[in-house]
Formats: sequence, structure tokens, C-alpha cells
Amino acid sequence: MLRDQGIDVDVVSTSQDAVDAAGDGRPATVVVGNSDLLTDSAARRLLEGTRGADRVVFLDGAPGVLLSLDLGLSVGLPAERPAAADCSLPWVAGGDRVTHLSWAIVPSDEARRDGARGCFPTGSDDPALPSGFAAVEVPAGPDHAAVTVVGMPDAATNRFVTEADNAGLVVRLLGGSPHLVWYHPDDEDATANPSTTDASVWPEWVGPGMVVLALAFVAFALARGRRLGRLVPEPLPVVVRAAETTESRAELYRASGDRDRAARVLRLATTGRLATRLGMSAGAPADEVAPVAAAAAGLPPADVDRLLRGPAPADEQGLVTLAQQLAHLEEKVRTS
Amino acid sequence: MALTTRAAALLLLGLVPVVLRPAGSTVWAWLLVWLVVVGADLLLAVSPSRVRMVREGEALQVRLGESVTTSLVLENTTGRTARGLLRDGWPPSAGTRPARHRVSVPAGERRRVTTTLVPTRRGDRAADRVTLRLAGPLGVAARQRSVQVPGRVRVLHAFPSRKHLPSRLAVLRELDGRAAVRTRGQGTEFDSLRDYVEGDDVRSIDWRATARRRHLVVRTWQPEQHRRIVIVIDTGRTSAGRVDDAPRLDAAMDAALLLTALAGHARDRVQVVAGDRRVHARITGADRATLLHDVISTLAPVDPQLVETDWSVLASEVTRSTHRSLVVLLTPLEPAAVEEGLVPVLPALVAHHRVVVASVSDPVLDRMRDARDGSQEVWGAVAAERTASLRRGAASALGRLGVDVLDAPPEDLAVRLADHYLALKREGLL
Repeated sequence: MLRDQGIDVDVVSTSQDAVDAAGDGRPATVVVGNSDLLTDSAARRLLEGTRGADRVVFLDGAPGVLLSLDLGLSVGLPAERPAAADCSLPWVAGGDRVTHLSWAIVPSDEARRDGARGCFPTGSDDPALPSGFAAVEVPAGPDHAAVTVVGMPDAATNRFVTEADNAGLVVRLLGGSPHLVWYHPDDEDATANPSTTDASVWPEWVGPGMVVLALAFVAFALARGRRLGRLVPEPLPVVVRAAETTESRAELYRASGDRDRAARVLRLATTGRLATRLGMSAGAPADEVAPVAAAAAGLPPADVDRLLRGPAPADEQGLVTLAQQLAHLEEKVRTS
Repeated sequence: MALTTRAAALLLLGLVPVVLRPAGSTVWAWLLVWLVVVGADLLLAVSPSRVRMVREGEALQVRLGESVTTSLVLENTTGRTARGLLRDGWPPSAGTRPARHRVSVPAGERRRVTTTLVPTRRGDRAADRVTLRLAGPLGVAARQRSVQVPGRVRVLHAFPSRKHLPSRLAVLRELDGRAAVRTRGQGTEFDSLRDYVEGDDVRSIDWRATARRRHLVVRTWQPEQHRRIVIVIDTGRTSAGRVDDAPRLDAAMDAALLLTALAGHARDRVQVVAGDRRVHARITGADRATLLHDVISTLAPVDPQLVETDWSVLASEVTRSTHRSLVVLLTPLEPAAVEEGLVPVLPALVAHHRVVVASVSDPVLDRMRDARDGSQEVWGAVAAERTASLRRGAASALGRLGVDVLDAPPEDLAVRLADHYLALKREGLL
């Protein structure tokens, strides 16, 4: 709409571009439409770079950065809907009305003395506090061009611009110069101009406090780390389990897998114990022990004879069975 | 010097000024204040070197498993109260309780600090340094010093078989007068005459005395006395093997102690030798009253050595005296060690003495032998059977040489040996 009226509109997304666009010699108006991604350093840079421009407009009141711009303006909530313009600025007509007010811009006493003028007073919750306005204009100073802060971000959107007198106000405000720079900061701009106020999320004493904590930790470590006298050496005893040789022997037997010999050892041991138990000499041969043991245990003599004198087991499982049967035979003889 | 946790807390208090005045300089100023406070406290602390320490009871003795106390007397020679911590340093197995003491000795006074020792292993334990840490008046810094205050505790064998001593002594008393009945003559000594009472063996009636006294008189006999008994304890590598988490040597000592106590009561002369390649302990029971104590105390620091026992060295200890003796060899029946080391020296011993070999067997072998559930267990059982048969072979080889062999698990060996001794005594075979 502004282009139709012969106004040159540039849309930029960084403060540097905005400064460059505004400084091309033509009288320009710089508009910040959305200040969500506007950092304080980007805003200061914008103000510094556009000293030669006609006007800088913050359409949405720029609540995040307004305080840090040192314009003597602050942001509050509007207490009531403004009735009339009640001011004489070139872009405001006497009977204008506004809607969709989001913020009330409150100039300080000092700013008022320096010539800041407000339009559309919104009153104040507390009579002691100064009244806010829907729009405040700060005249050009040595550091910046004239700045207009408007607390109606919704008024210039396509949805509401046709309501009340919004359209007229906005067009008059932005159409005051032949060149309009529409500055819409993006995240790259925010990264290029890092905020200097973000650090203040932490209280100031946190840094030194961490140093104190670290020092205290070091002192604590020193206090606890100091031994009360040296370590006393202990003459350690020799630790050898007596059964170790037998266990190693078992591993050797297992590794060699000599079932023939294993069966012979087991049978010999059982035969010897049975012979002693049955009143025979300990070295009695198996063929003499077998019938006596069979009679004592009440088992068939042939089975006992095969158990004590049979062939070597064919596999590992056979050896296990043989060992268990021998133990069973001894048990039988013992309990008979 | 030493800092205390209070010093760290004091440094932490620096957060207050830092919050009130958040700046780096505040931190440095606080650190400076802290350093000054710590330094001043350190300067004002009593010097530990001016506290004299003396140990009461330098050489202690305690039976393993019991507790003993050792005391340090602290004398503060300064004009200020000495406050702080004291640690009486002992090796870990001395079992010190508590580990550190809080001490406070007023100016010019003395205080006694008592540490309880519950040793966990047999042997000698020497006290290490005593460390004294005395804090300054604010308690943020302390001065620390360690000094040697001599002390020693001898941890004696627990002698668990001593509970069997009363019953064996009763058997010994029973031998009085009765031993003669079985074997008259050899190995018995005439004691006295007394009146016949019903039940006495008629063979012990002294007819000559009866004729004189006109009523029946019997002779009484007492068991042989003043026999020489030599107990040889093998401390070589085979004695280091652990059975039920105690070395075989401990069980062997237990048996030796019970036999010493019993033989001492029976008025026999007991000699104990412990050694491997050289003799580590030698007790000749000259003084019967202190015999058991001497043995228990001399054997206390003897530990198993990882060397092969040289039996000729130990045998020469036995053959020093030509008196016929009962020689008890406490050594494990390890077939190879027995065959190569012990068997060669035995004939010379057996020729002059009665020799008994007492060995500690391992109950684990019996368990291995009986476990036949799976393949692995069966191979273990085979190995255990083989070991048992080798031990039997070694035992019968010793038996053929005329040696009595006792092979018993640790808790039974002492009783078995004592009973064997009583049996020999009963039969007058010493």
C-alpha cells in the first residue's frame, strides 16, 4: 500500500543492512515490525547507525530492549482503552482512535522534560505512577534520530489494520519519508549481535562464589587427605590351599581324559574299602571281594563283579555312571 | 601441619561477603583473611614434640581370639591444653580399636590413652609410630608429628584343643596303679603299698608284706615317669597348605601343645623342636612349671616357610641325647616329601626311639571323593582317590619301618595324638 503511494520500501533482516539501507542519502524511516529477535546490541547499533534518518519506529513497543536503549521509556500494561489522541504530532489527526493496544509506553519525567510526547493516554493503575501512552515520540538527539515507540503490534497487521483508524495512523506514521526500511530481525542478526543482558540471568555473585566453593573444596580435600600417620606394613602369611595339588591332579586327569585309568583308580579304592569293611585283607583282589560284597549288599553277584572288574567305560557319561554305581554299592554294603 | 574440615567450612563462609559484595577482590581478601586465621591457629597450636609419650606394658601376650589393651601415657609439658587426635599405629592384623583417639591433656597434666588390640593372626606384632595431631585454639589448623614408642604384642596360638585336657588328665590319673596290672615289670615303677580292697587284681598282692602285716596288702604302681618326649614340628613348605583356612602348621602346633601339657602333667621331660632347613624354635623342658607357657610362647612367631624340610637337621636335634625317647614327628603325609626327605633318616631314629608320625589330613579330600554328581566332580573324585591311595602308600611305608602313623583332620589330630600317647603309656611302651 505504501509502495502505491510512491514510497520506496526495503525489507532487511539485519541491523547492518538496515543501517546501510537507511544511509543511502534519501530521507528514510526505519521500522522495526517485530522485536522478538531484536537484541539490545542490535537495537543500539540500529539507533547509532540511523542518526541521519527521519525517524525510527518500534511498532510493537519492543518491550525486551526498550529499557536498555536509554530513551527514558519503559513498558507497562494499559490501564484503560485510550479515548482520544490528545496530542499534536504530525502523523496523528485530532479524531483518531486506536484499538488492539498491547503495551502502554511510559516516558520518564526526564524524557518528558527532554521533549518526549505521548499520544492516546491509557491512564495508570496507580495514581502515583505516571500515565502511559499508546505511542510516544522522542525527538531526535545527538545519539539517535527521532524515535517513535508504538505499543500496538497488532494494529499494523493485515487482520486489524482496517479497524478504527489504524490504517490511517500507520500509513501516516510510516509514509512520512520517501524511503522506508522495514527491518525484520532474524536469528542470524541475533547471533551477530549477541545480547549483553542475557548474562544477567545469573546473579553477579555466582562467579566469585564458584571460586570460593572451589577453594573450600580444595581445603576440604587437603584436610581429609592428610593421613594421621603413615601406613603400617603387614607381614602377609603364605596362602596355599592344601587341596590344590589334588584339584590340579583332577584337571590333569580331565584334560588327558584317561577313562581307563580313572575307572581303575575308582574300582581299586572301592574294592579296598569294601574288603576292609567285610573283614578281608585290604589288598584282597576284586574277584574275591565281589561275591562277598554282592552277598552283603543283596545284589546279583554278576552285576557286582561287572562293576568291580568290568571293562573301562566307553565315554564320559559311562564313567560318571560307574562312579555313582560304585558309591551306591558302598552305601548298600555299609547299611546292610 | 594439617588442616581440619573446620578450615574448609571457614573458607566456605566466604560466600557471605561474596554475595554481599560480588567481586573477585572479595574472594582474594577472604582468602587472605583465611590464611591469616589458619596461620595464627597453627602458630598457637601446642607442639606435639612437647607432649611426652610413654607406653605402659611394652611386651604384651595374648591368645589369638582374645583382646589385650595397651596404654600410652601423654604428659603435656606446655602451659596450654593440648587437644587433638592420636593414632597408635599397629599392623592391620593387630586389630586396633579404636583406630584414632580424641585426646585433651590440660597444661602440665597426664592422660592415659588405651587402645584395645584384638589380633587376627598368630605371631609377633610390633607397634609402628604413634601419631599425634594437635589443633590450634580455633581448631582450623593442627600440627602433626609421628614418633616411635616401642611396643610389641606376641599373639599366642589359640590352643583350641585345651578343652580336651581335663578329660585326658583324668585318664592319666586312672593309669596310676592300674598300669602295673597289665604289664608287670618292664616300663612300670613301684610306688607304694596299700591295703587290699575288693576289686584289686589278686596278682598285685604283695605276699611278703601281707605276711608281715597279717592282712592283705597290694603293691601299687605308677606309670613310668621322666621319660623323654621329643616333639618335632615340620615348618617346611608342606605345612603351609591351608586346611579349613588355617595352615596345617597351626593344627600341628595345637597337637604339640596338648601333648606337651599332658606329658608335663605325667612328669615326662618334653622337648619341642620346630624347623625346616634350620631350627626355628627349640624348647627343652627344664622347668616343668613353665613348660607349657614356654612352648606356647616360643612357637607363637613360628610361621610356615616355603622351603623343603631338611630332615637330617631335625633328626640330629633328636639324636643329641642317646636316651630312648618318644619322638613325635608332626609333618603332613605328602608322599613325595615323605619318601625323599623323611624315610632316609627314619631307620636311624627307629633304631633308638619310638617314633610317631602325626599328619594333618584335609577334609576337603573326603568331600571331593564323595561328590560324584557330574563329570567334573567325578574327575575330582578320581584325583582324590588317587591322593588318598598315595597317602596310604606313604603311611604303610612308614609303618613297615616301625613307625606309628596318625592321619587325622585338624580338629581331631590333637586328641588322637594325646590318646596314642596315653595308650603307649598304659602299655609301658615309652
